[in-house]
Formats: sequence, C-alpha cells, structure tokens
Amino acid sequence: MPIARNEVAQRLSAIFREVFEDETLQIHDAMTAKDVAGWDSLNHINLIVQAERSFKIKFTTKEIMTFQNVGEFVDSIHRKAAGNEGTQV
Amino acid sequence: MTAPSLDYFELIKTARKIVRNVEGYPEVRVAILADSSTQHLAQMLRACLHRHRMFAQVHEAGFDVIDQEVFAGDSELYRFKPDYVLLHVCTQALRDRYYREGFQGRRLAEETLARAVDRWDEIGRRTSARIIQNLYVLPVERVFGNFSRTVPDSLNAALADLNARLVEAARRRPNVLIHDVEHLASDAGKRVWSDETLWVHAKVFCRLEFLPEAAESLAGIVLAGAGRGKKCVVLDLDNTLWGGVIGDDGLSGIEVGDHGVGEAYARFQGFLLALKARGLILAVCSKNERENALLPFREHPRMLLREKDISAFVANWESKAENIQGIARTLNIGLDSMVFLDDSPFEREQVRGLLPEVCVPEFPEDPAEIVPFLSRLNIFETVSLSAEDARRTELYQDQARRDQEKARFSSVDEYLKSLSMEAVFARFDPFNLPRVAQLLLRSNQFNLTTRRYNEAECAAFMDDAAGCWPVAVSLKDRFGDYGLIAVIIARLESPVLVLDSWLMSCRVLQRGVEQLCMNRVFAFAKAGGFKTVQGIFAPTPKNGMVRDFYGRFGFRASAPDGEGRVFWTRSVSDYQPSEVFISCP
Repeated sequence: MPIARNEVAQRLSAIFREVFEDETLQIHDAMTAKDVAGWDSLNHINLIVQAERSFKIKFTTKEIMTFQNVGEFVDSIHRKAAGNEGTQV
Repeated sequence: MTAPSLDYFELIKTARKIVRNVEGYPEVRVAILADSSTQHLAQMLRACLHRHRMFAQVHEAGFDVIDQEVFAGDSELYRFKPDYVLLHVCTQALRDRYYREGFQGRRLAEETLARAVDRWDEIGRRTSARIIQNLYVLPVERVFGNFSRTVPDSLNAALADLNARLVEAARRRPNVLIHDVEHLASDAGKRVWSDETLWVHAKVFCRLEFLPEAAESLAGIVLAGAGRGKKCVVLDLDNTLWGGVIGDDGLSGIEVGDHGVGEAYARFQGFLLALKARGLILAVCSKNERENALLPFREHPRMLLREKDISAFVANWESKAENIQGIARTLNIGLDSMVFLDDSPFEREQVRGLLPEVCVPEFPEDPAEIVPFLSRLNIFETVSLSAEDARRTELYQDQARRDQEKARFSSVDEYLKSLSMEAVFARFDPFNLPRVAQLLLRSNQFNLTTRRYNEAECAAFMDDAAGCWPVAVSLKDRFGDYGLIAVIIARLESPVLVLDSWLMSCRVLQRGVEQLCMNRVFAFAKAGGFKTVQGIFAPTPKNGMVRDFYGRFGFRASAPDGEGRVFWTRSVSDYQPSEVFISCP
C-alpha cells in the first residue's frame, strides 16, 4: 500500500512541531514560512533534512529551491515516498 | 563521564535552551570566520561545549567575509575580543575558484597558503586569541583518475600539498592550531560525509548528521586550551591489558603477544606507550594480589608495558573508586584529568557513580577494537608539546625515590639539605616560553590567580622590560631535574610591585621553593625601590590550598571583592628572608 497523502501531512505536521518546538502547530497546504514563528534559514534546512531522514527520501536541489508552500512540500514527499512503502518515523 | 552518541537534532534542541550562563560555567569566546554557512555549526559548538561544562559566546561573522573581518581597521571580530578565532574554510569554496580560474592548482595552493598566513599574522598582531585553522577535505573528483595525485596542478594534488604546507607553517606558530577536518571526513567516509545538494542550497560544508562530530572535535581543542586535557590513564589489568586472568591462568596462560587475541592486546599496550611518550601518566588499578599483578610486567616476554612505565601501581581488593582517589593524591592531579579503562561494566558504573569527574569510557568487547575506539573518543587532545611532557614518568619516579630517602632522615631540614637543591631564576625567554605557557595552562592547585595567559601574551610580558618582571623558576636536586616548576608575573606599578600571577607545580611543595621565591620577590622589590608588594588571591574550586598563602608571609588582607578576590599587601622594608636549603646561583 503506498502511503496516503494525509498520512504524509500528519507525519510532516509532527516534524514541524518538533523542529519549531510548538505542540499546537498544525500545517496546511497554503502555509508558508511567514506563517510560522522561527521559520528561518536554519530551521528550513532542519525541516528538509528531518523530512528526508524520516521518510527515507532525498530531495533534489531543484525541488528544494522551488517549494512555494507546505502543500507542495507534502506533494513532493508523497510522490517520493510512494516507492518507499512501510517506512516509519 | 560517558560518550553518548550525539544526535544533531537533539543537540539543536539543547543549544536553543542555552541562553544565559545560568550554571556559571567558565566562559569562552569563539569567533567563527567562514566561507560557508556556519549557523548550524555554531549551534552545535555551543551545545557540545555546554555538555563539557563550558559556556560559549559565539560570534558568527557571516557568509564569506573572512578578509573583511580580519583586515578591516575596525571590525566586529576585534570588538568581540575572541579567545579563539576559527578559520572555518572548506574545500567546496576553494573548488569553485579552481574551476573558475583555469585549473591552476599550484597557484591556488600558493595563494591560499599565503592568504592563510597573512590572516594568522594579522589576527596575531591584533589579539592574543588562539587561531584554529581548518584543513581541507581532499575532494572526490579526480580528473586524471589515479594519476591525479601525480599531476601537480590537479585539485587533488594541490589540496594535499596545501594541507601539508598549512601544517608546516602552523608548527612554527604556537598561536595557530590545526583542525584536521580531512581526518574527520576520511574517518566518516567521504561517500557520506558531504551532501552536495545541501552545499548548493544551504552552503553547509558537511551533512548535518556529522556536524556534532565536527563540533566535538573543535570543543576538544578548546577544552585542552582551557587546561582541561587529560593527564593520566588508569588501567585495569585482567581482560583489559591482557587476555585472561593472571591469578587463575598464570604467566603462560594470559594472552599478550604476536598472534591471535594477544596481538590485539599488544597493540593496545603500544598505543598506551605512545601516550606515555607524549606525556600522559599511566597508572594501574587492579583487583589482584600485588605480586601476581606485577608478574607479567616483570617477566612476560611479550609484554610491551614494563614496571618502569607505570607511575602508580595499585593492586588490592579495595574499591576502585577509593584506589583512584589514592592515585590522584599520590600523583597530585585532579580527578577530572583522569581516564579510567576497565573491561568490567560493574567497575565502570561504580566509578562513574562515585567519581563523576573521572572520564570512564565504555570498553569494547573485542580487544581489536580498543585502539580505534579510544582514538575516536578524542579524549587525548592537547594544544602543545613540551620537552618535559616526554620526561613525565621519569619525574614521578624520581619522586618515588625521594620519598624513600625522606623516610631515613630524622628532621625535614636535614632531609632538605641532603637533596642538594639548586634553583635558577630566569626572565621569560624564547626558550622557556612554551613550558611557561603550558604551566600557566595546567596548574590548578598552587595557582593564586589562575590567569591562563597563552604563549603570545607571555611573549608580550617578556618584551615589556619597563612594566613587567616575568620570571620562570627551575629546580634540580641530586635525584633529578624537575625542570621549570614555578612562574611569577609581577607588574611594576611603582611604588607597588603587583604579583599578577604566581603558580607552582605541586611536585615541589614543601621543599622551600615558595620561601625562596618570596625572598627573591622582596629582594627585587627592595632593589627597585618599591614600597609595598601586593599579592592577589582569586578563588577557584581547586586552589583552596593557597587561600592563606600570602598570610603566611605576613601580608595583610583586604575584604574580598564581588568575585571573592582578596588583595594582600606587605611593606618591603621589614621583610625578613625565610631560611631555605636551596642554592641559587
């Protein structure tokens, strides 16, 4: 069974909460860096590397440079993780 | 202390929580100048130093502004007043230049070396900070394949040459320390060390998961620079130094030698001998009958370690924690400068529980793994090498013979006379400077102000004939040469002679050296027309033994100031020299 998009979103939400140390943080597709306190370049890298580690995927340079919002981030993980069935955080 | 595995994301969380120095740890100021992005590394460094009970103030210069910071007339670097300047340069930045500028590897190496040396000299002129210079990770791209190293202009050959020349230039500059990033990368494996994607979008020089290792490696240099290096390795015997149990298996049954498991133990002993040659003290702490425990050291043909290599040999059935405390007292060193190696998890846990200051690493089950395991813990960092390091075991053994002699005399004075001691007072000079700086760094107990001046600062005292009287004292007796054992730095603030620093090696306590030095201080004060001598006592957790040092010589104390410092004064005119039994040419 390929991983469902909303499961990706849920797990990514947990990663956001951990990286930004905010228990109440909920992500949504239209969210961008300016919506989250502390989303600076340092935490941006932390997010990407933590997501790569958790979903056992690797983003290309182009992908990282072109994410417009959280929704695109989720889509990209969803596409890549489809091939990695059964991976867990 | 154990070495928990360091996770990047855990350390990031730790770093966020360290805002102010609430624990009151010693502070260190580190400036990071880099041609890559440093915010992740800076966080790791703060977290790692905090784990080692140091509070780091970090100044990040920003991306790729090294020369602006170093050479500008008035830059944040110098206003920051760093203790350490990290020149965090990386291969990726240099590689880009190589490809842009026509593949002239030799020219690139030449210019990069000259630039590095210019930076060191400028920083050295304007601060007394220690400089930490990164080496370059040799790149994986090889345009000529294996032939690349043969082509002097290849990037590969040029960077290997550059590394060698940076090290060579640093050897001649005691304020420049090398951070061997090439070693870290090779050890981790270059297939995983760096992440080219991360470099392209974030300019981080290695994969985030290796940043804790890089930061630990830097922290090791800073800790050694702060006098927190290790001085002594305490060793268990059975199944630690050899395979088997000497009491059960006998001399021919234990495994150490040139084949099988014994080969691994022999290699471990070789590594310990190399540490000893470097100046660490080796001690034994074993649950054994003493004669049994000594037998392999005396009679086993394949043992590399011999009785003469061990400065303190304890074999009994008491608790190891108590024995280790006894060894610390015998050798006059702090528990926090000791490493305890034992294959028994029970003994390790007990020592960790009772003596948390002692460094107690895990111990690999397979003896073949011992040496690489210990090397990777990076607990044997140092920032200098002095001739006396190599003689340390000899020095402690001279001491043992003196102690035997002492038992034969009826009075202390008679014993002291019999030693035929000879002291030499010398102003700091280029030859004694390395050892002076090392003593300033390492002395904790007999140290009145614990000001850790480095070699560059000592050189400044040396040159300041009008303002400063910096003296180094050496001692020898008929049993051996102690070498340089005391340092006094006096500031000439007429009519007051201010004793800025006074420290002494604990090996020479109760020989009259401190009385001799005080006589010399007052003779100097009198000759120079000073009216009073002022001594300062600045308390630390370790220097309680000299709290009343000046009081014993008739100095009068001020009330302690906000930091607990006491200022002692004594007039010069009525000082009566103490009787001493040390001749002094």
